[in-house]
Amino acid sequence: MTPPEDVSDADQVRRDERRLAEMGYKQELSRGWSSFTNFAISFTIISVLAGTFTTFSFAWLHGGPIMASIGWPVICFFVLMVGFSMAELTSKYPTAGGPYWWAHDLGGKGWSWMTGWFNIVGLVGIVASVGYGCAFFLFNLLALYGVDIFGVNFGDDIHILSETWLLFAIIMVLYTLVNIFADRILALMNNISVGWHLLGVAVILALLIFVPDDHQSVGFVFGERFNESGTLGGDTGGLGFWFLVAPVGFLLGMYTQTGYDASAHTAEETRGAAVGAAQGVWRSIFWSAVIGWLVILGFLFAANDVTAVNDEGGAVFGIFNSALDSWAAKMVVLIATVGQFFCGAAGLTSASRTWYAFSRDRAIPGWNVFRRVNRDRVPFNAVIAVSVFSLLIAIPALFGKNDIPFAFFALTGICTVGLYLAYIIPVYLRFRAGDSFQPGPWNLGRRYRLVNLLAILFVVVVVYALDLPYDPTGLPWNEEFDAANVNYTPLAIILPLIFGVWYLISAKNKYQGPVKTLEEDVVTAD
Amino acid sequence: MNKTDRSIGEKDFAMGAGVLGLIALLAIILAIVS
Repeated sequence: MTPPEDVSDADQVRRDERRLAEMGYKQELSRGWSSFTNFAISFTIISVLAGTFTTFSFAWLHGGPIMASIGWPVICFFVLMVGFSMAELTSKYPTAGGPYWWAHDLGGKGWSWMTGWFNIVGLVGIVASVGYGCAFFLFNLLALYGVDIFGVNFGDDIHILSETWLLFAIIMVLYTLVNIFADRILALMNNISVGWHLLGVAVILALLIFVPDDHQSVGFVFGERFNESGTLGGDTGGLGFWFLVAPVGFLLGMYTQTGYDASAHTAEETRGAAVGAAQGVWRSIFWSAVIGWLVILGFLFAANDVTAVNDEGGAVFGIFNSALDSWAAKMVVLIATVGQFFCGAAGLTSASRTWYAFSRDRAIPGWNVFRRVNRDRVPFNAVIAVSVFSLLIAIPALFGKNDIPFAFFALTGICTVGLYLAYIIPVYLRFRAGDSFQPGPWNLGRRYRLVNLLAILFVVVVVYALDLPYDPTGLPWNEEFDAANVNYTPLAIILPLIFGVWYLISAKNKYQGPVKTLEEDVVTAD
Repeated sequence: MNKTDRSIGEKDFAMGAGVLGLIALLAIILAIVS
Protein backbone atom coordinates (compact mmCIF):
# COMPACT_ATOMS: atom_id res chain seq x y z
CA MET A 1 0.00 0.00 0.00
CA THR A 2 1.37 3.39 -0.91
CA PRO A 3 1.55 6.28 1.54
CA PRO A 4 -1.02 9.02 1.12
CA GLU A 5 0.11 11.83 -1.14
CA ASP A 6 0.54 15.37 0.13
CA VAL A 7 -2.85 16.97 0.63
CA SER A 8 -4.04 20.20 2.21
CA ASP A 9 -4.97 20.23 5.89
CA ALA A 10 -8.65 20.72 5.03
CA ASP A 11 -8.63 17.74 2.67
CA GLN A 12 -6.77 15.68 5.22
CA VAL A 13 -9.31 16.53 7.92
CA ARG A 14 -12.14 15.52 5.56
CA ARG A 15 -10.41 12.19 4.90
CA ASP A 16 -9.92 11.67 8.64
CA GLU A 17 -13.57 12.47 9.34
CA ARG A 18 -14.62 10.06 6.60
CA ARG A 19 -12.47 7.30 8.12
CA LEU A 20 -13.94 8.07 11.54
CA ALA A 21 -17.43 7.92 10.05
CA GLU A 22 -16.60 4.50 8.57
CA MET A 23 -15.93 3.38 12.12
CA GLY A 24 -19.29 4.81 13.14
CA TYR A 25 -18.32 8.06 14.85
CA LYS A 26 -18.99 11.67 14.04
CA GLN A 27 -16.18 14.17 14.57
CA GLU A 28 -16.76 15.66 18.04
CA LEU A 29 -13.24 16.51 19.22
CA SER A 30 -11.26 19.32 17.61
CA ARG A 31 -8.94 17.88 14.93
CA GLY A 32 -6.28 20.53 15.17
CA TRP A 33 -3.17 18.51 16.01
CA SER A 34 -0.34 17.86 13.59
CA SER A 35 1.54 14.56 13.44
CA PHE A 36 4.34 16.23 15.38
CA THR A 37 1.99 17.21 18.20
CA ASN A 38 0.72 13.65 18.23
CA PHE A 39 4.29 12.41 18.61
CA ALA A 40 4.92 15.15 21.17
CA ILE A 41 2.19 14.02 23.56
CA SER A 42 3.51 10.46 23.75
CA PHE A 43 7.12 11.63 23.96
CA THR A 44 6.07 13.96 26.78
CA ILE A 45 4.23 11.22 28.68
CA ILE A 46 7.12 8.77 28.37
CA SER A 47 9.31 11.70 29.47
CA VAL A 48 12.97 10.83 29.92
CA LEU A 49 13.02 13.68 32.44
CA ALA A 50 10.54 11.74 34.58
CA GLY A 51 11.03 7.97 34.42
CA THR A 52 14.81 7.83 34.15
CA PHE A 53 15.09 10.14 37.17
CA THR A 54 12.45 8.56 39.40
CA THR A 55 13.20 4.88 38.70
CA PHE A 56 16.98 4.95 38.26
CA SER A 57 17.35 3.41 41.72
CA PHE A 58 15.71 0.17 40.56
CA ALA A 59 18.59 -0.48 38.16
CA TRP A 60 21.28 0.85 40.50
CA LEU A 61 20.30 -1.35 43.45
CA HIS A 62 19.29 -4.42 41.46
CA GLY A 63 22.33 -5.15 39.33
CA GLY A 64 24.27 -1.89 39.25
CA PRO A 65 25.47 0.17 36.27
CA ILE A 66 25.11 -2.55 33.63
CA MET A 67 21.41 -2.83 34.37
CA ALA A 68 21.08 0.79 33.24
CA SER A 69 23.76 1.08 30.53
CA ILE A 70 22.99 -2.23 28.81
CA GLY A 71 19.59 -3.00 30.28
CA TRP A 72 18.05 0.25 29.02
CA PRO A 73 18.65 -0.22 25.26
CA VAL A 74 17.82 -3.93 25.44
CA ILE A 75 14.52 -3.30 27.25
CA CYS A 76 13.71 -0.38 24.95
CA PHE A 77 14.23 -2.64 21.94
CA PHE A 78 11.48 -4.93 23.23
CA VAL A 79 9.24 -2.00 24.19
CA LEU A 80 9.62 -0.90 20.58
CA MET A 81 8.18 -4.26 19.51
CA VAL A 82 5.10 -3.49 21.62
CA GLY A 83 5.01 -0.02 20.06
CA PHE A 84 5.29 -1.32 16.50
CA SER A 85 2.50 -3.81 17.19
CA MET A 86 0.28 -1.05 18.57
CA ALA A 87 1.18 1.31 15.71
CA GLU A 88 -0.22 -1.16 13.20
CA LEU A 89 -3.48 -1.29 15.14
CA THR A 90 -3.59 2.51 15.51
CA SER A 91 -3.33 2.85 11.75
CA LYS A 92 -6.17 0.41 11.19
CA TYR A 93 -8.40 1.99 13.88
CA PRO A 94 -7.51 5.69 14.38
CA THR A 95 -10.04 6.37 17.15
CA ALA A 96 -9.78 7.78 20.68
CA GLY A 97 -10.70 4.47 22.29
CA GLY A 98 -7.43 2.86 21.25
CA PRO A 99 -6.76 -0.60 22.68
CA TYR A 100 -10.31 -1.44 23.82
CA TRP A 101 -11.69 -0.49 20.41
CA TRP A 102 -9.10 -2.68 18.69
CA ALA A 103 -9.92 -5.53 21.07
CA HIS A 104 -13.60 -5.26 20.21
CA ASP A 105 -13.06 -5.51 16.50
CA LEU A 106 -10.58 -8.35 16.84
CA GLY A 107 -12.03 -10.31 19.74
CA GLY A 108 -15.53 -9.13 20.69
CA LYS A 109 -17.08 -7.16 23.51
CA GLY A 110 -15.73 -9.27 26.39
CA TRP A 111 -12.12 -8.64 25.37
CA SER A 112 -13.01 -5.01 24.74
CA TRP A 113 -14.55 -4.56 28.20
CA MET A 114 -11.51 -6.01 29.99
CA THR A 115 -9.03 -4.10 27.83
CA GLY A 116 -10.84 -0.81 28.33
CA TRP A 117 -10.87 -1.09 32.10
CA PHE A 118 -7.23 -2.21 32.23
CA ASN A 119 -6.37 0.82 30.12
CA ILE A 120 -8.36 3.22 32.33
CA VAL A 121 -6.80 1.82 35.50
CA GLY A 122 -3.33 2.02 33.98
CA LEU A 123 -3.70 5.57 32.74
CA VAL A 124 -5.16 6.85 36.01
CA GLY A 125 -2.19 5.19 37.71
CA ILE A 126 0.20 6.97 35.34
CA VAL A 127 -1.37 10.37 36.04
CA ALA A 128 -1.18 9.74 39.79
CA SER A 129 2.38 8.44 39.76
CA VAL A 130 3.76 11.12 37.42
CA GLY A 131 1.95 13.84 39.36
CA TYR A 132 3.33 12.46 42.60
CA GLY A 133 6.81 12.14 41.10
CA CYS A 134 6.61 15.77 39.99
CA ALA A 135 5.53 16.75 43.52
CA PHE A 136 8.41 14.74 45.00
CA PHE A 137 10.93 16.51 42.77
CA LEU A 138 9.34 19.89 43.47
CA PHE A 139 9.53 19.12 47.20
CA ASN A 140 13.25 18.34 46.86
CA LEU A 141 13.80 21.51 44.86
CA LEU A 142 12.03 23.62 47.49
CA ALA A 143 14.02 21.80 50.17
CA LEU A 144 17.27 22.64 48.37
CA TYR A 145 16.25 26.31 48.48
CA GLY A 146 15.00 25.97 52.09
CA VAL A 147 11.62 27.45 51.17
CA ASP A 148 9.42 28.25 54.19
CA ILE A 149 6.05 29.64 53.07
CA PHE A 150 2.52 29.87 54.57
CA GLY A 151 3.71 27.93 57.61
CA VAL A 152 5.03 25.04 55.50
CA ASN A 153 8.77 24.57 55.88
CA PHE A 154 10.08 22.42 53.02
CA GLY A 155 13.61 22.69 54.37
CA ASP A 156 13.07 20.66 57.55
CA ASP A 157 12.83 16.88 57.97
CA ILE A 158 9.27 16.62 59.27
CA HIS A 159 5.88 16.21 57.53
CA ILE A 160 7.64 15.18 54.33
CA LEU A 161 4.84 12.92 53.06
CA SER A 162 2.03 15.38 53.85
CA GLU A 163 3.94 18.31 52.31
CA THR A 164 4.66 16.27 49.19
CA TRP A 165 0.98 15.33 48.99
CA LEU A 166 -0.01 18.99 49.31
CA LEU A 167 2.21 19.82 46.33
CA PHE A 168 0.74 16.84 44.48
CA ALA A 169 -2.82 18.14 45.03
CA ILE A 170 -1.83 21.61 43.77
CA ILE A 171 -0.18 20.08 40.71
CA MET A 172 -3.29 17.99 39.98
CA VAL A 173 -5.46 21.12 40.12
CA LEU A 174 -3.10 22.84 37.68
CA TYR A 175 -3.16 19.82 35.34
CA THR A 176 -6.96 19.90 35.41
CA LEU A 177 -7.26 23.63 34.74
CA VAL A 178 -4.79 23.47 31.85
CA ASN A 179 -6.62 20.50 30.34
CA ILE A 180 -10.07 22.08 30.58
CA PHE A 181 -9.46 25.74 29.86
CA ALA A 182 -6.38 25.76 27.68
CA ASP A 183 -6.82 23.12 25.02
CA ARG A 184 -4.88 25.14 22.45
CA ILE A 185 -2.17 25.94 24.96
CA LEU A 186 -2.02 22.23 25.75
CA ALA A 187 -1.10 21.39 22.15
CA LEU A 188 1.49 24.16 22.27
CA MET A 189 2.69 22.89 25.65
CA ASN A 190 3.30 19.43 24.24
CA ASN A 191 5.32 20.88 21.38
CA ILE A 192 7.29 23.08 23.78
CA SER A 193 7.75 20.03 25.98
CA VAL A 194 9.69 18.27 23.22
CA GLY A 195 12.03 21.26 23.03
CA TRP A 196 12.28 21.38 26.81
CA HIS A 197 13.18 17.70 26.95
CA LEU A 198 15.84 18.05 24.23
CA LEU A 199 17.33 21.26 25.58
CA GLY A 200 16.97 20.08 29.17
CA VAL A 201 18.77 16.83 28.46
CA ALA A 202 21.55 18.75 26.67
CA VAL A 203 21.98 21.07 29.66
CA ILE A 204 21.89 18.18 32.15
CA LEU A 205 24.48 16.25 30.12
CA ALA A 206 26.71 19.32 29.93
CA LEU A 207 26.45 19.76 33.71
CA LEU A 208 27.18 16.08 34.35
CA ILE A 209 30.16 16.20 31.98
CA PHE A 210 31.81 19.51 32.96
CA VAL A 211 30.95 20.11 36.63
CA PRO A 212 32.20 16.91 38.37
CA ASP A 213 35.93 16.77 39.18
CA ASP A 214 36.26 13.27 37.83
CA HIS A 215 34.19 10.57 36.15
CA GLN A 216 33.76 6.84 36.23
CA SER A 217 35.50 4.70 33.60
CA VAL A 218 33.89 2.96 30.63
CA GLY A 219 34.66 -0.28 32.46
CA PHE A 220 32.56 0.81 35.44
CA VAL A 221 29.62 2.05 33.37
CA PHE A 222 29.43 -0.96 31.05
CA GLY A 223 30.98 -3.68 33.15
CA GLU A 224 30.29 -3.10 36.86
CA ARG A 225 27.67 -5.29 38.42
CA PHE A 226 26.53 -5.14 42.02
CA ASN A 227 23.60 -6.21 44.13
CA GLU A 228 22.49 -3.72 46.76
CA SER A 229 18.96 -5.11 46.89
CA GLY A 230 19.63 -6.84 50.20
CA THR A 231 18.91 -10.28 48.74
CA LEU A 232 21.17 -13.27 48.00
CA GLY A 233 23.88 -11.81 50.24
CA GLY A 234 24.87 -9.34 47.52
CA ASP A 235 25.50 -12.13 45.00
CA THR A 236 25.84 -10.94 41.39
CA GLY A 237 25.79 -14.23 39.53
CA GLY A 238 23.85 -17.42 39.19
CA LEU A 239 20.20 -18.10 38.53
CA GLY A 240 19.06 -16.29 41.67
CA PHE A 241 20.58 -13.04 40.49
CA TRP A 242 19.29 -13.25 36.93
CA PHE A 243 15.78 -14.39 37.82
CA LEU A 244 15.07 -12.56 41.09
CA VAL A 245 17.27 -9.46 41.17
CA ALA A 246 18.05 -8.39 37.60
CA PRO A 247 14.41 -8.29 36.42
CA VAL A 248 13.69 -5.65 39.08
CA GLY A 249 16.61 -3.66 37.67
CA PHE A 250 14.95 -3.78 34.25
CA LEU A 251 11.98 -1.89 35.68
CA LEU A 252 13.91 1.32 34.91
CA GLY A 253 13.06 0.86 31.24
CA MET A 254 9.74 -0.89 31.80
CA TYR A 255 8.29 1.87 34.00
CA THR A 256 9.70 4.76 31.97
CA GLN A 257 8.57 3.53 28.58
CA THR A 258 4.81 3.67 29.16
CA GLY A 259 2.04 5.99 28.02
CA TYR A 260 2.74 5.91 24.28
CA ASP A 261 -0.84 4.78 23.70
CA ALA A 262 -1.55 8.53 23.97
CA SER A 263 -0.85 8.80 20.24
CA ALA A 264 -3.73 6.39 19.65
CA HIS A 265 -6.05 8.10 22.14
CA THR A 266 -5.53 11.46 20.46
CA ALA A 267 -6.00 10.07 16.95
CA GLU A 268 -9.37 11.84 16.61
CA GLU A 269 -7.58 15.14 17.24
CA THR A 270 -4.74 14.42 14.78
CA ARG A 271 -4.69 15.28 11.09
CA GLY A 272 -3.65 12.32 8.93
CA ALA A 273 -4.11 10.02 11.93
CA ALA A 274 -3.94 6.71 10.06
CA VAL A 275 -0.23 7.31 9.49
CA GLY A 276 0.61 10.21 11.84
CA ALA A 277 -0.78 8.65 15.01
CA ALA A 278 0.75 5.26 14.16
CA GLN A 279 4.16 6.86 13.72
CA GLY A 280 3.62 8.86 16.91
CA VAL A 281 3.45 5.59 18.87
CA TRP A 282 6.75 4.08 17.73
CA ARG A 283 8.72 7.31 17.24
CA SER A 284 8.03 8.46 20.79
CA ILE A 285 9.45 5.16 22.11
CA PHE A 286 12.42 5.29 19.76
CA TRP A 287 13.51 8.86 20.53
CA SER A 288 12.90 8.38 24.25
CA ALA A 289 15.10 5.30 24.07
CA VAL A 290 17.97 7.11 22.37
CA ILE A 291 17.79 10.30 24.45
CA GLY A 292 17.09 8.37 27.66
CA TRP A 293 20.22 6.29 27.10
CA LEU A 294 22.32 9.45 26.93
CA VAL A 295 20.77 10.70 30.19
CA ILE A 296 21.46 7.38 31.90
CA LEU A 297 25.06 7.30 30.67
CA GLY A 298 25.41 10.84 32.02
CA PHE A 299 24.22 9.65 35.46
CA LEU A 300 26.54 6.64 35.46
CA PHE A 301 29.70 8.43 34.35
CA ALA A 302 29.06 11.15 36.96
CA ALA A 303 28.42 8.62 39.77
CA ASN A 304 31.98 8.80 41.05
CA ASP A 305 30.96 8.34 44.69
CA VAL A 306 29.25 4.96 44.77
CA THR A 307 28.82 5.02 48.56
CA ALA A 308 26.99 8.36 48.42
CA VAL A 309 24.57 6.99 45.81
CA ASN A 310 24.02 3.82 47.84
CA ASP A 311 23.35 5.92 50.94
CA GLU A 312 20.55 7.64 48.99
CA GLY A 313 19.04 4.25 48.15
CA GLY A 314 20.33 4.46 44.59
CA ALA A 315 18.36 7.65 43.89
CA VAL A 316 19.72 10.16 41.39
CA PHE A 317 19.91 12.78 44.15
CA GLY A 318 22.88 10.81 45.46
CA ILE A 319 24.67 11.44 42.15
CA PHE A 320 23.72 15.11 41.92
CA ASN A 321 24.62 15.91 45.52
CA SER A 322 27.97 14.10 45.42
CA ALA A 323 29.13 15.00 41.90
CA LEU A 324 27.67 18.43 41.26
CA ASP A 325 28.00 21.83 42.89
CA SER A 326 24.86 22.99 44.67
CA TRP A 327 23.81 25.39 41.86
CA ALA A 328 24.19 22.67 39.24
CA ALA A 329 22.24 20.13 41.30
CA LYS A 330 19.42 22.65 41.70
CA MET A 331 19.39 23.32 37.98
CA VAL A 332 19.15 19.61 37.13
CA VAL A 333 16.28 19.06 39.57
CA LEU A 334 14.50 22.17 38.24
CA ILE A 335 14.75 20.97 34.63
CA ALA A 336 13.47 17.51 35.61
CA THR A 337 10.60 18.95 37.66
CA VAL A 338 9.35 21.11 34.77
CA GLY A 339 9.65 18.13 32.42
CA GLN A 340 7.59 16.06 34.83
CA PHE A 341 4.94 18.77 34.95
CA PHE A 342 4.60 18.59 31.16
CA CYS A 343 4.48 14.81 31.43
CA GLY A 344 1.62 14.73 33.93
CA ALA A 345 -0.48 17.30 32.05
CA ALA A 346 -0.15 15.26 28.86
CA GLY A 347 -0.91 12.07 30.79
CA LEU A 348 -4.18 13.60 31.96
CA THR A 349 -5.07 14.49 28.35
CA SER A 350 -4.49 10.92 27.23
CA ALA A 351 -6.33 9.35 30.17
CA SER A 352 -9.30 11.70 29.82
CA ARG A 353 -9.66 10.86 26.10
CA THR A 354 -9.78 7.17 26.99
CA TRP A 355 -12.34 7.88 29.72
CA TYR A 356 -14.35 9.96 27.24
CA ALA A 357 -14.26 7.28 24.54
CA PHE A 358 -15.16 4.48 26.97
CA SER A 359 -18.05 6.63 28.22
CA ARG A 360 -19.15 7.35 24.68
CA ASP A 361 -19.42 3.58 24.35
CA ARG A 362 -21.43 3.43 27.60
CA ALA A 363 -18.99 1.29 29.54
CA ILE A 364 -18.50 3.66 32.47
CA PRO A 365 -21.28 4.27 35.00
CA GLY A 366 -22.47 7.84 34.47
CA TRP A 367 -21.34 7.67 30.83
CA ASN A 368 -23.82 10.31 29.75
CA VAL A 369 -22.05 12.88 31.92
CA PHE A 370 -18.51 11.89 30.99
CA ARG A 371 -19.05 11.91 27.23
CA ARG A 372 -19.97 15.60 27.18
CA VAL A 373 -17.60 18.08 25.58
CA ASN A 374 -17.49 21.83 26.23
CA ARG A 375 -17.47 24.72 23.73
CA ASP A 376 -13.79 24.05 23.00
CA ARG A 377 -14.65 20.38 22.39
CA VAL A 378 -12.81 19.27 25.52
CA PRO A 379 -14.33 16.31 27.43
CA PHE A 380 -14.20 18.31 30.65
CA ASN A 381 -16.11 15.89 32.88
CA ALA A 382 -13.78 13.09 31.84
CA VAL A 383 -10.80 15.30 32.71
CA ILE A 384 -12.25 16.00 36.17
CA ALA A 385 -13.05 12.31 36.72
CA VAL A 386 -9.48 11.20 35.98
CA SER A 387 -8.09 13.93 38.23
CA VAL A 388 -10.37 12.98 41.12
CA PHE A 389 -9.52 9.28 40.83
CA SER A 390 -5.82 10.09 40.58
CA LEU A 391 -6.10 12.03 43.83
CA LEU A 392 -8.05 9.21 45.47
CA ILE A 393 -5.60 6.44 44.60
CA ALA A 394 -2.75 8.64 45.83
CA ILE A 395 -4.23 8.93 49.34
CA PRO A 396 -2.05 6.01 50.55
CA ALA A 397 0.94 8.22 49.72
CA LEU A 398 0.11 10.16 52.88
CA PHE A 399 1.31 7.16 54.86
CA GLY A 400 4.59 5.32 54.75
CA LYS A 401 7.63 4.13 56.60
CA ASN A 402 10.80 6.23 56.76
CA ASP A 403 8.97 8.71 54.52
CA ILE A 404 8.64 6.12 51.74
CA PRO A 405 4.99 5.57 50.64
CA PHE A 406 5.17 1.84 49.92
CA ALA A 407 1.40 1.36 49.63
CA PHE A 408 1.23 4.02 46.94
CA PHE A 409 4.09 2.35 45.06
CA ALA A 410 2.13 -0.90 45.21
CA LEU A 411 -0.90 0.81 43.71
CA THR A 412 1.12 2.25 40.85
CA GLY A 413 2.62 -1.22 40.30
CA ILE A 414 -0.89 -2.67 40.01
CA CYS A 415 -1.88 0.10 37.59
CA THR A 416 1.22 -0.58 35.46
CA VAL A 417 0.28 -4.26 35.18
CA GLY A 418 -3.17 -3.11 34.03
CA LEU A 419 -1.63 -0.80 31.44
CA TYR A 420 0.63 -3.47 29.96
CA LEU A 421 -2.29 -5.92 29.80
CA ALA A 422 -4.32 -3.30 27.92
CA TYR A 423 -1.45 -2.91 25.48
CA ILE A 424 -0.91 -6.57 24.84
CA ILE A 425 -4.45 -8.01 24.68
CA PRO A 426 -5.19 -6.42 21.27
CA VAL A 427 -1.72 -7.40 20.05
CA TYR A 428 -2.46 -11.01 20.97
CA LEU A 429 -5.82 -10.78 19.19
CA ARG A 430 -4.17 -9.32 16.10
CA PHE A 431 -1.60 -12.14 16.18
CA ARG A 432 -4.44 -14.63 16.48
CA ALA A 433 -6.26 -13.06 13.51
CA GLY A 434 -3.22 -13.78 11.34
CA ASP A 435 -3.44 -12.92 7.67
CA SER A 436 -7.19 -12.33 7.87
CA PHE A 437 -6.41 -8.96 9.49
CA GLN A 438 -6.80 -6.12 6.96
CA PRO A 439 -4.12 -3.58 7.93
CA GLY A 440 -4.24 0.21 7.60
CA PRO A 441 -1.78 2.31 5.58
CA TRP A 442 0.93 1.90 8.27
CA ASN A 443 1.59 -1.82 8.64
CA LEU A 444 4.32 -4.33 9.36
CA GLY A 445 3.70 -6.55 6.36
CA ARG A 446 4.63 -10.16 7.10
CA ARG A 447 6.88 -9.14 9.97
CA TYR A 448 3.85 -8.79 12.25
CA ARG A 449 4.26 -12.38 13.48
CA LEU A 450 7.76 -11.90 14.85
CA VAL A 451 7.04 -8.42 16.21
CA ASN A 452 3.78 -9.46 17.91
CA LEU A 453 5.40 -12.55 19.40
CA LEU A 454 8.36 -10.61 20.83
CA ALA A 455 5.93 -8.04 22.25
CA ILE A 456 3.82 -10.70 23.96
CA LEU A 457 6.86 -12.46 25.45
CA PHE A 458 8.20 -9.14 26.68
CA VAL A 459 4.98 -8.25 28.50
CA VAL A 460 5.06 -11.63 30.25
CA VAL A 461 8.53 -10.70 31.53
CA VAL A 462 7.31 -7.23 32.54
CA VAL A 463 4.42 -8.59 34.60
CA TYR A 464 6.82 -11.09 36.24
CA ALA A 465 9.35 -8.34 37.05
CA LEU A 466 6.70 -6.04 38.49
CA ASP A 467 5.63 -8.77 40.91
CA LEU A 468 9.07 -9.53 42.36
CA PRO A 469 9.90 -8.33 45.90
CA TYR A 470 11.87 -5.07 46.07
CA ASP A 471 13.15 -5.64 49.58
CA PRO A 472 13.95 -8.91 51.42
CA THR A 473 12.09 -7.70 54.51
CA GLY A 474 8.95 -7.75 52.39
CA LEU A 475 9.11 -11.56 52.27
CA PRO A 476 6.96 -13.28 54.94
CA TRP A 477 9.65 -15.88 55.77
CA ASN A 478 12.25 -13.20 56.49
CA GLU A 479 13.08 -12.79 60.20
CA GLU A 480 12.82 -9.03 59.84
CA PHE A 481 9.56 -9.18 57.91
CA ASP A 482 7.74 -5.86 57.67
CA ALA A 483 4.31 -5.71 56.02
CA ALA A 484 5.05 -2.13 54.90
CA ASN A 485 7.84 -3.39 52.63
CA VAL A 486 5.81 -6.05 50.81
CA ASN A 487 5.39 -5.58 47.06
CA TYR A 488 1.62 -5.84 46.76
CA THR A 489 1.63 -5.73 42.95
CA PRO A 490 0.57 -9.43 42.70
CA LEU A 491 -2.77 -8.12 43.96
CA ALA A 492 -3.18 -6.96 40.37
CA ILE A 493 -4.86 -10.32 39.95
CA ILE A 494 -7.91 -8.66 41.51
CA LEU A 495 -8.27 -6.44 38.44
CA PRO A 496 -9.38 -9.18 36.03
CA LEU A 497 -11.47 -10.67 38.84
CA ILE A 498 -13.32 -7.41 39.52
CA PHE A 499 -13.88 -6.52 35.90
CA GLY A 500 -14.57 -10.12 34.89
CA VAL A 501 -17.22 -10.66 37.59
CA TRP A 502 -18.74 -7.25 36.85
CA TYR A 503 -18.96 -8.20 33.19
CA LEU A 504 -20.50 -11.60 33.83
CA ILE A 505 -23.04 -10.38 36.39
CA SER A 506 -24.21 -7.19 34.78
CA ALA A 507 -22.20 -5.56 32.02
CA LYS A 508 -22.42 -8.52 29.67
CA ASN A 509 -25.98 -7.56 28.80
CA LYS A 510 -25.46 -3.79 28.88
CA TYR A 511 -22.09 -3.24 27.24
CA GLN A 512 -22.34 -3.77 23.51
CA GLY A 513 -18.88 -2.54 22.57
CA PRO A 514 -18.33 0.67 20.61
CA VAL A 515 -21.57 2.61 20.14
CA LYS A 516 -21.73 4.21 16.71
CA THR A 517 -22.60 7.85 17.28
CA LEU A 518 -23.59 8.32 13.66
CA GLU A 519 -26.17 5.52 13.95
CA GLU A 520 -27.23 7.02 17.26
CA ASP A 521 -27.94 10.32 15.50
CA VAL A 522 -29.98 8.56 12.86
CA VAL A 523 -31.97 6.77 15.55
CA THR A 524 -32.48 10.04 17.41
CA ALA A 525 -33.57 11.76 14.18
CA ASP A 526 -36.06 8.99 13.50
CA MET B 1 10.13 -8.37 -1.99
CA ASN B 2 12.03 -5.45 -3.46
CA LYS B 3 13.09 -2.93 -0.77
CA THR B 4 11.32 -0.14 -2.64
CA ASP B 5 8.04 -2.08 -2.37
CA ARG B 6 8.09 -1.94 1.41
CA SER B 7 5.23 -0.15 3.17
CA ILE B 8 5.88 2.89 5.40
CA GLY B 9 5.51 0.64 8.41
CA GLU B 10 8.09 -1.85 7.18
CA LYS B 11 10.56 0.94 6.47
CA ASP B 12 9.93 2.46 9.89
CA PHE B 13 10.40 -0.96 11.47
CA ALA B 14 13.70 -1.53 9.71
CA MET B 15 15.01 1.87 10.77
CA GLY B 16 13.75 1.87 14.38
CA ALA B 17 14.56 -1.72 15.27
CA GLY B 18 17.87 -1.53 13.39
CA VAL B 19 19.15 1.55 15.19
CA LEU B 20 18.00 0.45 18.64
CA GLY B 21 19.36 -3.02 18.01
CA LEU B 22 22.73 -1.52 17.08
CA ILE B 23 22.78 0.61 20.23
CA ALA B 24 22.02 -2.47 22.36
CA LEU B 25 24.75 -4.38 20.52
CA LEU B 26 27.21 -1.52 21.04
CA ALA B 27 26.47 -1.52 24.77
CA ILE B 28 27.03 -5.28 24.98
CA ILE B 29 30.31 -5.03 23.01
CA LEU B 30 31.53 -2.26 25.35
CA ALA B 31 30.69 -4.51 28.29
CA ILE B 32 32.72 -7.34 26.81
CA VAL B 33 35.80 -5.33 25.87
CA SER B 34 35.89 -3.12 28.99
